[in-house]
Amino acid sequence: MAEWADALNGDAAAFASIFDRHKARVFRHAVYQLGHREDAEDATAAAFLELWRRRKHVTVLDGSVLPWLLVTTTNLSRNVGRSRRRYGDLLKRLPRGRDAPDDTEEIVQSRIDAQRQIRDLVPAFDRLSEQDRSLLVLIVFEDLPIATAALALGMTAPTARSRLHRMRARLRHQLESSSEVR
Amino acid sequence: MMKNLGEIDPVFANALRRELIEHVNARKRRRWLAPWLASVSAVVIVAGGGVATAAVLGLPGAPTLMPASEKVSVTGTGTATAELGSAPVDANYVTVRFECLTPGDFEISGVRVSCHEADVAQQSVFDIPSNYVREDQLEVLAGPGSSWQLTATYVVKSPTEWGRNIHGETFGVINDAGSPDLIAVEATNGKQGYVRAVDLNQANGDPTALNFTSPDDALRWQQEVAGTIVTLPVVESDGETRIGEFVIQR
Repeated sequence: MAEWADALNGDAAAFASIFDRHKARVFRHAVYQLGHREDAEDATAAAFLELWRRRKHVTVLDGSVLPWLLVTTTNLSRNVGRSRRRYGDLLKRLPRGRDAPDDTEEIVQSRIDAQRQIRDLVPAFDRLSEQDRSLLVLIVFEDLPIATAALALGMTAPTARSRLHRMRARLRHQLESSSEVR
Repeated sequence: MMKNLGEIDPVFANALRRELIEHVNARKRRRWLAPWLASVSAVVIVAGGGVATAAVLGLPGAPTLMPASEKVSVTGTGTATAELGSAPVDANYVTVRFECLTPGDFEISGVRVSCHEADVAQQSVFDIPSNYVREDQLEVLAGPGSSWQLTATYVVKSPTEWGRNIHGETFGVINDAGSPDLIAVEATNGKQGYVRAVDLNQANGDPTALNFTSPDDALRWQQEVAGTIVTLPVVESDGETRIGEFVIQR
């Protein structure tokens, strides 16, 4: 919390250490969302740049900006084109390590293995509202407690619970109807 | 170089880290670069640090400006951002015409404008280097009740040379190449002339002229001299013929 306050006051070192602490998790989250290493790097960069640009409006939960970063990464991953337009020059300027192995599939696979049902969810997942998607991602993919995920998205815990309930019902229905079509 | 599964590329991460630090510092640096601009009230036409006013165009060292985008006009109260649209490839500056509609202190992407009662509705014109314009936005910082209006256009700015008088002194406007020995100003009697850079830098609290070593020094200095007035002689480009006075309110 103190670190974020320092960063808000223009302490670059404090902001850098927030980056150090959360970069791995934000990156993995982006890889999972995008399934591609370079896109995920761009989304990670955009998320931290947005953290600074929108610093006055960032929600801090339990002293952490991580939930906000994850929600933002989810949204940015939905539209990588938009972040590229905003931060295109900067992203192009950032050097990439050579010989980067394309381990994307392995990354995605390892996470899918851990959360097997997600693969089934994906076709229906795209049809959810942005807020519902964010909620699901934070709870299912990122293992945040419902109350924290709810706060990160600016809703109360009971609202989040009822949304989840409705989502489950809707997803089940959509999955059933899509298998009927097939 | 091998990477661990699902780990962010360290080369990319380090570069991004530096970039983020740069972003945070950019705000501070703009404040640090700007202190002596702070003393330039809306009616004074000193140009400097890449900031030129319309009144200096045509003078030696003044750049030529070519508009490169449509004009954007924004009116606001309090802090707000003005979206400029994406920058044309060859544009290197954004020309901003800023008008305070109420008295108050304003900061436009690092350039501060102080408006007293008498400055209201006076236009300040300055050029902000486009690499200072983050994400195609100009940020206007202002108190909750302070109203303002600005128009902004991306421009292509090309430099011109300073003049040189018989004493070998350069004269013209401050530009990206630095400061000439004699800086173009408008005297209180309305005549166009020059003040000595040495005098102006001292009076304006230029960090180098006053040997400031930190932004704190500059701020302390600003507090000390706040409200004082300095009168400097205005001369012709020969550096000798006195034609008027230049007054700086601090």
